[in-house]
Amino acid sequence: MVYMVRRLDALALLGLSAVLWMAFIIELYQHQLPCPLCLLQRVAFTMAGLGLLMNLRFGVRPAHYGIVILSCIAGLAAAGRQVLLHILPNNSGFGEPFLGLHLYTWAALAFLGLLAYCGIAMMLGFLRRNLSPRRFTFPEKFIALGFLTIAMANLASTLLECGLGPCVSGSFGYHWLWS
Amino acid sequence: MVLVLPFFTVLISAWYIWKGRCRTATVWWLLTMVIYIIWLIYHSTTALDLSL
Repeated sequence: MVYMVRRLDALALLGLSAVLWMAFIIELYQHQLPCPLCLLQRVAFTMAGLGLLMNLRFGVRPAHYGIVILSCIAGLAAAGRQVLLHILPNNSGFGEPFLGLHLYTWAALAFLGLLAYCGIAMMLGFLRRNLSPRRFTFPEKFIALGFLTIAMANLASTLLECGLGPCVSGSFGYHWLWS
Repeated sequence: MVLVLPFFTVLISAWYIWKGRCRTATVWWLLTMVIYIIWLIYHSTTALDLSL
């Protein structure tokens, strides 16, 4: 499975390089020089690529995916900032759209895609780790119980509010209790 | 600080990966991230004239 993940990492790095090359070619041929936020997005793509490159060079490790994930979050912050800058009506956005979306919107989607890829690759790549259960320490048990309790409380309150329906009534309240 | 700096440091990190030095590459990636965050904060808190 690890070998398959390495191949997927190679493909992901290929796709990431293609994104960077495409932006570079658009810059040269369409004379769309990148803005500062666009440049930061390129840095973030390159930083994310480092994590994938590390997986190819040193083997698949969670730390390398951590590098990809943190870089993608940083890139998403820059791309998100730029999307929000141009979100108001009658704003033509920065640069020419590519396949209906501006490059920074594509970048935001690409960062989200890379994040999703990391989740999938980590699930696949570390399937055979030793997963035998261990005992909770006291603080861990306290934290785990708090987590399970709030999960159950949310289940109960949602059931009371929405019942078994789609929750589109328009007047929100604990209908199962008070109706 | 110049905007080309993270491009330079990220390339150094890639170079160390190529040379097989994982820890050094990670340190350079971390430095790139710090520079990146500084630039991101700067460009998120100052006015940008991007609407052409």
